[in-house]
Amino acid sequence: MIESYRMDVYNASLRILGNAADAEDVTQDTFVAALQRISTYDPAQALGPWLRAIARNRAIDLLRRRARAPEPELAPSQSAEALAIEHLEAERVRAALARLPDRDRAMIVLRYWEDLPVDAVARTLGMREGAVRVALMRARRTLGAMLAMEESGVEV
Amino acid sequence: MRCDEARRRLLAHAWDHEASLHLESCADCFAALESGDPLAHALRGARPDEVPAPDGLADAVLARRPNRVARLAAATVLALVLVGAGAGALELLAGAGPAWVTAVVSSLAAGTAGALAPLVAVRDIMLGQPAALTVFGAVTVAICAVWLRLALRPPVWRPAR
Repeated sequence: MIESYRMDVYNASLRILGNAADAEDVTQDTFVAALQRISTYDPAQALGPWLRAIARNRAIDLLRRRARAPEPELAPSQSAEALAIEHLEAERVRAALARLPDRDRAMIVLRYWEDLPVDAVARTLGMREGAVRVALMRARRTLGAMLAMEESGVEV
Repeated sequence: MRCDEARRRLLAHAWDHEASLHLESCADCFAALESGDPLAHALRGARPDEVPAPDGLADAVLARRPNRVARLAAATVLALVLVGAGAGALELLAGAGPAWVTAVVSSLAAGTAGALAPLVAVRDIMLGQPAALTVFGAVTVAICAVWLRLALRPPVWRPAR
């Protein structure tokens, strides 16, 4: 099981945490927890999603334990955002994403990198579905603002 | 608030309170705003490539896997300590040990008199000093608890880089 799914679980953790050492710890925790709870696993379900869900929950728990003060919210003009986004490169998006507050980054990763529906994002983060809708939109706007400011040479 | 009004206001200002309340309960508006946002597409396109997991992960996980033998041994030690502490408490409360405790101690002492003599001496000294006995008992229980904790959940091991 470990050999087959370690890359999958490690990458799911890494995307949320953005830190290799933390992702490795969470990956270990995930497999230890899975081995302990293997009797609760339903063989009719695929093993990969079950393991990834455990990894996501563990990664979110780690982020919560290390919760830091929220960063100031930015609200730039739509036109500046749109202009910046036209020239986006994946690397710049990832770098900006890494600067978002932990909760916002986790939410975006779950929605756009893990392709989870909004209700699953809400369950994973322990939030209401409606709150996730609003927070996701605001997180995108904050990210867009950071990228727009970067594009115009303003230090964010 | 109507959907088109909420969307217009949210595009102009994402922190609009009334429009945000509408968005909370409107999945259609969320989907529309998301599908029209180029950043949502950019984010999906920025998903990082998979990277290999670190070597030695399987060994580390297996090393941390709870060991049933260790659990059983730790539970046995804990049970013995608790029985011992209970018997000691009885001895203190009654002023003398119950007959079976005395018999057990006597038979053990007879069999291994040389080895047990220092323990019996320590016990006699401790029985005369309830405070010291309490501290000793507490330290013993704490050490057993640490052992049990380590047996049930070994610390995270990570290979040096």
